[in-house]
Amino acid sequence: MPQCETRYFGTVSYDPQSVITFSAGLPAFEHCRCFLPIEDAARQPFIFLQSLEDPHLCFLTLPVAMLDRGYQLKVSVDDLATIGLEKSLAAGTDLRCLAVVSFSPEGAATANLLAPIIVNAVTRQAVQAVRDDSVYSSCHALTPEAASCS
Amino acid sequence: MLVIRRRAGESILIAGEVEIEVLEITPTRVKLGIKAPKEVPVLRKEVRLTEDHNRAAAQEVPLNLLAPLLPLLRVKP
Repeated sequence: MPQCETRYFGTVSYDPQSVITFSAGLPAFEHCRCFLPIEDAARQPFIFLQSLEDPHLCFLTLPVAMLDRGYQLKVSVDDLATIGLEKSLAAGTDLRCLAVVSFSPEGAATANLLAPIIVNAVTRQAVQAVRDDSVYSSCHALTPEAASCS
Repeated sequence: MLVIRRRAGESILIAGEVEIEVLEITPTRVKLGIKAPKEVPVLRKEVRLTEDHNRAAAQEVPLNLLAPLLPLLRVKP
């Protein structure tokens, strides 16, 4: 099995089948395409997305449904095409929806529900789908003390 | 904030080189056409907010910050 350097877990072996590919990168990280999802039993439900191109880049994510059970997914036709789907989200399409989490220096955590990461679980293609409405916040507070922003 | 009323087909100019034309108005949306020099980036604001959030999220996280969050996540309805 191939190995990679990670930001939080040292060198790990991984199954190439588990790698997810962002053919367009992520906003502000367009050069990073391949990420390894890492789940750490002690830190569930967090899922670490480790860049295979940059060992120092690792996003912490949470399943969107865990943050907002009623989350209404809205993905543009272009973003659907990026993950190999056509025109509309058919019922039963096997998708994973993850929200990127960031921490302020004071430890307050926010999740980006404006732009969930959508993974086509069958093809492992992924996209960070930035919504075109303002229904959800780019910094949804996870902790009571996290100041909410626009 | 500067507020200008425009109808479909009318434009505004910014710094003489960026033109924003109102193409179509519906009850819920406005379609805009933007002419700008190649070196002027034009982004939906949501993309900029996501870039900013991603940059913040890319900073190293002391993993001990996660422990206090785990119970909050488990009890969420």
